Amino acid sequence: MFKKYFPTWPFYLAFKQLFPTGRKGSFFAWMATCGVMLGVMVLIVVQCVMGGFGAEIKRLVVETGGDIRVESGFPIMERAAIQAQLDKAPGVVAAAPYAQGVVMLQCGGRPAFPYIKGIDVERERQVVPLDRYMTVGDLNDLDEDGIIISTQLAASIGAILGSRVSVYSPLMLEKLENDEVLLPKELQVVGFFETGWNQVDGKTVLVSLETMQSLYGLETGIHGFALRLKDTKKEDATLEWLSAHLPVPLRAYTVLEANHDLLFILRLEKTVLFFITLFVILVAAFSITSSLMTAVVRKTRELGLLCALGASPSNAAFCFCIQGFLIGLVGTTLGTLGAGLALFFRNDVVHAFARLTHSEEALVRFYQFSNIPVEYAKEDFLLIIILSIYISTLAGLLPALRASRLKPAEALRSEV
Amino acid sequence: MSPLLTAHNLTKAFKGPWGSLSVISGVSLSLNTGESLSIRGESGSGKTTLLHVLAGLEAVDSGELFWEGESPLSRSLAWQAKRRGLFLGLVFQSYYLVPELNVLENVLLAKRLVGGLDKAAEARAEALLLKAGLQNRLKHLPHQLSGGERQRVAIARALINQPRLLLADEPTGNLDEKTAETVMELLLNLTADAGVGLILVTHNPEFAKRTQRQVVLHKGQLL
Repeated sequence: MFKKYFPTWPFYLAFKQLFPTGRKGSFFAWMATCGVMLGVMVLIVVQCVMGGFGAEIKRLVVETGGDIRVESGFPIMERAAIQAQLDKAPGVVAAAPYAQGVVMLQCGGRPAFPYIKGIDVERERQVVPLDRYMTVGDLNDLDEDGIIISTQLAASIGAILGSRVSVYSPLMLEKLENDEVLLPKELQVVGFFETGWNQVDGKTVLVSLETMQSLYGLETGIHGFALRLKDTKKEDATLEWLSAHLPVPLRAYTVLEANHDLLFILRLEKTVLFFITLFVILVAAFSITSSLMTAVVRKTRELGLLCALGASPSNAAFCFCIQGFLIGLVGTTLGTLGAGLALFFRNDVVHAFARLTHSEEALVRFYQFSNIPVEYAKEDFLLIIILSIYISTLAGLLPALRASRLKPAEALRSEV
Repeated sequence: MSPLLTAHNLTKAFKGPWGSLSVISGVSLSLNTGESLSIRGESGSGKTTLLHVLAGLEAVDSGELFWEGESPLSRSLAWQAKRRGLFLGLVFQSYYLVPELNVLENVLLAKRLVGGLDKAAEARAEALLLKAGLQNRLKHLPHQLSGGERQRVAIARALINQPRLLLADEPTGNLDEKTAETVMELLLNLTADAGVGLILVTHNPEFAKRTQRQVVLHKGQLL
């Protein structure tokens, strides 16, 4: 039944025309295959690296911010009661209170406007691996007079271990309105940290929760809780439980939800790059079409012969579609293997390039990672493989249509 | 029993901006199983067109054609193609071997197209090539063969499907006298041995005389 409607000889002939007996392949076939191979290689590398950047940023967002946040938009004054509730929430490993905001920081006359976070060190440790981020100093030294500054910020204001920095909070402006003067808080730098994420490392300082409460006039209040979950796959169940048990107006949401815009841009970048690099395959497809079109003209009499020997014109034309398919198949296979190799040696290649161009520091500073992250997403691979083979097969369709319109006797009479 | 091939009053004209050019006009002929017929005629007399019409490769304007009593003109292109592959063998002046295939693969291509390629078909192809004196050239590519050798491959290819009728269009037209003689002898011997009907289009009166019947085509009409 299959053979009746899909005879096997067009596959044989297409294969033989691409890879003739006694030769390693026709020049045309290898050039077209190389085009598809390069396209697939670029697409896979770009998608895996972009996916890797996205996954790395996602990981850093979750690692530095916890899995879930509980906030209300107002200071939470019943901290102990809420803390007790969160500690028994299903799937929650730890809950750390925090108060956050923006302050003006001054060190030796150099100002900065960092994001400030007040933390309960012991609880924060269970949610965020802060000890791992510490580059200088000890997290245990963070008391009511201490401040830990991110490395990049420290460099920009010239702070060193032991420096004294002045912290100006928005509360000072409120006091001024009531003709009261609140002096800036003097804190001593007790350490530096670096998370590896530029967004945090460039503008964050950590103080004790009590210091932050004092700076913002929160008394015993806090702004929210950061939660670490046992299994993020079950975060929906935890969120549901929290929504049902937390008092209004407290609201629980995932940290990824809070960074939705950033993650959306990353996804958008990945999609846009996919379409841009897809053009490499489209260019290769045009090259396949033009080459096969030339082959149709060159092999007009051969097409006539096939009809004379018992092939129907449509089957003879089918050969060209199969040639497009075979070029796509071989090109995609080679491209996938090539991409695998390129991704495997990506860091060696980039570091060698960075060494040659003396740009290793810039690489870390601008791209945030010293190693190129990759994410091998099954769906990306499948999409690229199917799409490239599909486009290559389509590229053979136009020449095939032209071939199918040839009349056998006219083809045999052809002078080409 | 139906004759191998019957043609009644076949007419074919090529139409173009210049008007209508009549190529075949009221041609009728019949051929029985195992019979051989030669068609001679000047260049442009319509010999090749007539052969294409008889092979079902060219549509006719009017007339009837029967292959063993069946009319290909009333059937689909797919049916015609399949039936042509089994019923007919074709040999052309320009050989038309597929350049990417070696000698054996070229012969077996005709078998692949109609289906049923198996060990027996391979053995038959090798036997035909042995008869054609090409037993040492099985793995050679067409460009590695002489003109005579190529035509012998084309004859073997035309006979691989054990057709009932072989149509040969000036098979020695591109060959020197000596090679032409060898090729013609092979063609006539193989068709006679297999009991295959033969319609031979040729310029050469000597070759034409070797067939059982001879006709002349003049300005599209059989004399």
